[in-house]
Formats: sequence, structure tokens, C-alpha cells
Amino acid sequence: MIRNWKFVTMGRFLPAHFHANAFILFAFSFLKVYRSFVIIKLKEGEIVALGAYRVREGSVAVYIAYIESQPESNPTLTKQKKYRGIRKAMIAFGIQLSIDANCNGVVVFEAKTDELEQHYIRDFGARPVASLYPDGPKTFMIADQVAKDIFSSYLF
Amino acid sequence: MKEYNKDFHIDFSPMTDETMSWLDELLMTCKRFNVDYYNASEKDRAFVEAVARKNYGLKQAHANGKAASTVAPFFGIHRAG
Repeated sequence: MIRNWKFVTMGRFLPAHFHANAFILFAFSFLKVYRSFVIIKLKEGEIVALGAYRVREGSVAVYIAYIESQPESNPTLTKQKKYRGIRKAMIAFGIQLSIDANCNGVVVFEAKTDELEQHYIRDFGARPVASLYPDGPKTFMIADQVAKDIFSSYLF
Repeated sequence: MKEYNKDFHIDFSPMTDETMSWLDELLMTCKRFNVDYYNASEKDRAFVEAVARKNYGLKQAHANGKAASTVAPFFGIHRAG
């Protein structure tokens, strides 16, 4: 049961090509910010993306534990994208959480497919991190200048 | 790598607690040795990864009541005795 959660402002992460009033963004977290969840939902009720983030005590990075989005926003699945910038917005929220949690904007996540791996490396500047198991999903990190660039793209 | 499931459209793989514990160990090792993992050379990365694997293995062995000798040696160096 979710208790003590609160809404936080996500407005700045709305991709520029969306009409701001067309979207409802929910971002909520537990008071101690151990877990945060984000849901991006259209007013008509369509859920565009959802994500879960973890801030672990003593950790130096925020873990993007899970992100799921509309297939129409996936550049590896469709050439004519219906939604753009969803994944970047979800990563930017992780960077904000990371800075809030004294982790300097470092975020770590696991890519689902080989195609998405290349997308994260090429388009987001993600770099690989040693995985616990060689056969498991590949782990990636976004930090430093790249994290700053992603977050800054929503500032003005 | 799992095959992409078009019904779910998952972008980021669900991350387990075990993976997060491993990454905590790795990133804390980087901090201890002043290694900026994101910008580190291959050599520095190999070093901190090996230290982190050893430490993580020792912690896991301790938690599961196994002997420290069951953990793979650091860069193949066996302790005498």
C-alpha cells in the first residue's frame, strides 16, 4: 500500500512538441524518496509511459529500475513516431532525483534489447557498466556533462 | 539478451535488488579509489571491477555462511595459507 506519497512538479519535462495542456504528468515518491514513480498520461486516458526509480541509502547513483512506454515512441520499432522525447524526459527526471539525492546526476539502468542499447549509447551518451552476470541485460550509466546536457535541455 | 516482447514495450529492463547491490559495491569502490567510472580508462575500470567483484563475492559468501576461499581470487592471486 502506498502511503506518504506526494506529487512533485514534472512540468519542465514535457517535450516541447507536446501541447502542455494535453498532458497530465504524475510523479510521486515516498517521503524518504526510496522509490519514485512517474506516469505520463494523456488527458484522454492513454498512458504514454511509466517508470520506477530507486534511491538507495548510501548509494552514489539513482537506479532507473524500470521504464515502459508506448511502442509509438520507440525509434527501434517504428519510423514514424507518434510520441517523441518520452524516454529522454524519463531519464531527465532520474537525473533530477539523482541531484536531489546528492548523487550528482548519475543514473544507471539496464537496456532491454541490443537495438535500444545502441540507441542509448548513440542518442543519450550512455556508457556501459560492468554487469554482475555477463549473460544478463547490459547496464548503462549517464553522468557528468551528458547528464547536465539532458537536464539542461528542459530548463529554458 | 532476451527477445523483445512487442506486447509490453519495455524500454529498460526491470532491475533487481541483487543488481543494485552489485552496482552499489562497484560505485563505492570507485569512490574509494578515486576513479571516475564514467570517464575512466579501460585499465582503471578493470581494476575497480575486479576489486568490486572480490568484495561483493566476500560479502555474499559471508551472508550465505560460506568460506572466503570459495570466492574467486582477485586477478587470480591466491593467498598463501
